[in-house]
Amino acid sequence: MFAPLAAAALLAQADPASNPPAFHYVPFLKPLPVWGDRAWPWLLLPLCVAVAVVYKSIKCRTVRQVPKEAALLTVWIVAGMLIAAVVLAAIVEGLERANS
Amino acid sequence: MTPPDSPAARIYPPQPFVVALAAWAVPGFGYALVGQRTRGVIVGITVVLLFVAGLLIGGIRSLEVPMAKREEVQVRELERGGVPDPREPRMAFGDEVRGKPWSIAQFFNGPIAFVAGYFSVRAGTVDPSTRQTPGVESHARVNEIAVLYTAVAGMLNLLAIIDSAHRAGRLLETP
Repeated sequence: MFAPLAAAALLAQADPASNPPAFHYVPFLKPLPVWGDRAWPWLLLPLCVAVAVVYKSIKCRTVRQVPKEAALLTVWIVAGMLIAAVVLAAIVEGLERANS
Repeated sequence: MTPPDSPAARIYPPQPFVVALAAWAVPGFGYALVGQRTRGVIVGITVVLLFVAGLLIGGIRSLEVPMAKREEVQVRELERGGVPDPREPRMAFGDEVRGKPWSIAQFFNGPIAFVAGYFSVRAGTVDPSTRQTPGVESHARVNEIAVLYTAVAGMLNLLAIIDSAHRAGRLLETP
């Protein structure tokens, strides 16, 4: 679960415009420097995995079914969020064009 | 319903409210009491990891603690010559919870949320000499995601509390 956090931190560091050079990350005392728009969406992945794992742990009759079912649900959640993002972006773009 | 892993849960089925309380106190422990240890371990580890990940993303101060003064209020009081005190005695508890609604979801993480809340208040207490706090408050997207992690962890644990208590009730009904 912590691997995407590290990946997001690396991505943020690679984006100097979004990351002030003087900021040093201190776990629990300072927030993770993920201000860049390329970095923070990756933080939604562990959240989706956790929601899928707990939901399927509750729903599945046997625990053996959980990994496969949770992986499938994670894919569905991520796909749903991507579709929602594309639709919302299209609506915003359309509204901007209509107003200009 | 899945039969319990351990025969003890079948012989001495626990009361649902005991299971609910145990599931709140230790995420996943409710399932262990109804004999479904593996399910409990998966749920417990996931909930705790999600909560800790939220604190790692936004810092401990991303937790919303009712009755704790905001940093700017403490600084204003220090400038007026007051004694530093992170507690907020003027507000009613209900108003404070309404002002910090995510604290309700975070409460369902169990005692771990209270311990983290204590450290959140400590990290948010202004040092009178430097006028700064030991912990940095997160803002904007980072804060939103951190609060989302901790609150979703609490809501998932609430789901597990309800489910494990329901399973305990079913065990009691089964002759």
